[in-house]
Amino acid sequence: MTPDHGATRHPASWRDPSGFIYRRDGVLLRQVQPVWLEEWVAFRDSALARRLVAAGKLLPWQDSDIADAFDSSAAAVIRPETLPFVSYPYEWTFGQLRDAALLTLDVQSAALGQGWTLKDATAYNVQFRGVAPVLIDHLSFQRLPPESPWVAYQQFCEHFLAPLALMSRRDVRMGRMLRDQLDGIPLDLAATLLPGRSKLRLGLGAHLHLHARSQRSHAGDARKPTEVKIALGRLTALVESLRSTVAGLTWEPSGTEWADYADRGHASYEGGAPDAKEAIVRAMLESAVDGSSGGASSGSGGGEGASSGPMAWDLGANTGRFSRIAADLGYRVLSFDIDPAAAERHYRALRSAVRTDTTPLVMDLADPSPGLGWAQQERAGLLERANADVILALALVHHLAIGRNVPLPMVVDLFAALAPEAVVEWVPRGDPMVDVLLASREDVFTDYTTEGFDSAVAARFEVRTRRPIEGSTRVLYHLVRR
Amino acid sequence: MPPHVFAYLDLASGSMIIQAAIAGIVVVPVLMRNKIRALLGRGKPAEDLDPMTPLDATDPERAPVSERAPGATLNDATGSDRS
Repeated sequence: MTPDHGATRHPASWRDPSGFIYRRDGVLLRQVQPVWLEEWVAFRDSALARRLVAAGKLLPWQDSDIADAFDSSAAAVIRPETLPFVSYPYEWTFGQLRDAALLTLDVQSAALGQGWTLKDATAYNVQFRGVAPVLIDHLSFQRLPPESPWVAYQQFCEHFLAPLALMSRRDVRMGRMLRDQLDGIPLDLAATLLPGRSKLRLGLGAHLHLHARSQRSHAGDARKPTEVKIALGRLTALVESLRSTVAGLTWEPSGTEWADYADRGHASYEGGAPDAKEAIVRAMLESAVDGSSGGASSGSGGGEGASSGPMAWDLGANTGRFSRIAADLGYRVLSFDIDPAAAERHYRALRSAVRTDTTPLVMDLADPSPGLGWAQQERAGLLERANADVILALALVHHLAIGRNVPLPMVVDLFAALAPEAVVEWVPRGDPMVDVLLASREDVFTDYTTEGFDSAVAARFEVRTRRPIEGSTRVLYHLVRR
Repeated sequence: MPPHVFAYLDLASGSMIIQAAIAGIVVVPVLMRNKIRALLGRGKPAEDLDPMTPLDATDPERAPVSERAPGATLNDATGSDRS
């Protein structure tokens, strides 16, 4: 059982004894344990596996040499396709979580139709390639014993149904509860927080409220799964009922501070200023793609899924105007925004266009995702996953510095921690948006000056180019980390 | 085929029992709904649905780029950045 040198077991892969993932020489591999070899071989050779991969619902993989195993206990080794970035359910928009839920149910429905079942249904088994959800756990599939219940039913309800119901029926920001509840939201808690009228909805009433009550009533039981029998037709109907319930949960992304921002005019820019800004940003991103600093084109970070091609992180992306410029230049893009409505609108637009190069995520940069779970390593913090070649921080600094009281040197430190290059927009005093931020509060930001920003930048970056945006008082900087 | 499910999760008796109860209850309306849909020509019964049908084929919003209407772009996604 002694692991070979050069292999590192993934800190989140230890729950399922069927196997685990690990990294060897920078390559992500999955080891199959002897207890699961028969099931894995049966699934690997099945029509179900082929069709799921062909339909884009299961991450493709290749068989790997047993010599690449993590340790001598291995029965098989596979090499899943590399993902550019690993995100977590508490970073997804409502639509992303809903689509991940529907994917899980679609896969379970397909599996049942061919004599298989999912033995787990955690939201962490889904990742996004662009805006397309894909199941990543190849060892989740098991041939369905006759009249077996769905062993992952409770997990599905806690990981997907409960948070979606809370986001849809109560407040979309409750999706962030998943950050505190890595094993999903307890159903009794969800039942308490949901409006009473949700009990009258057939799906929520049954799968959530009655489910929670049944858990309470049978808390002391020690019943084995073999003692509960469910015919296949009924199990299929159960999954279909869950699908209808999830599909019926909706949320309209509007009414927040930033959701409709893109539709409004802006006093900060006059005349052709927006176009001028676009042109400068494009030129700076092209320069970064050229990689004269050695940053772009390598996927240089140490994040989970470094792979070929440059990566751009658009911080404060709103609905993605500048993310699109980066994507059109060949970057893979992660678009972060604090506003769940803006990120949702971006997600829906990308989904309509079926872009595979951009993934929106909800993120508060003043309080980014921390390391969570076992030993605080199970779910990596945002900075641990930093793998950008370049970041975009457009019209963002003043919101962090004034809106959140973050000193300018700390703002610049964050940028330097995220990527070797940065395209940053400086919004000086006198700009209408700065005036708005200062209108209702005392101006304690004596260091918020162009000289103060330049000083903070100089400590961490070299300025490659500095270009004023015509028609505004704003300035764009292309920075290269020292 | 294994004689029972490989349940490394704690199944919780309450979840299994309610699952069986709900499955027994919903099977009739689900079947009826599928039959009605089939009669109305609005969809195939669940048992006839190819569960492997890609989402792309059933959801116009998810149509692959190659199958979208000419000129469809990401324009809907664009707006202004936050300022």
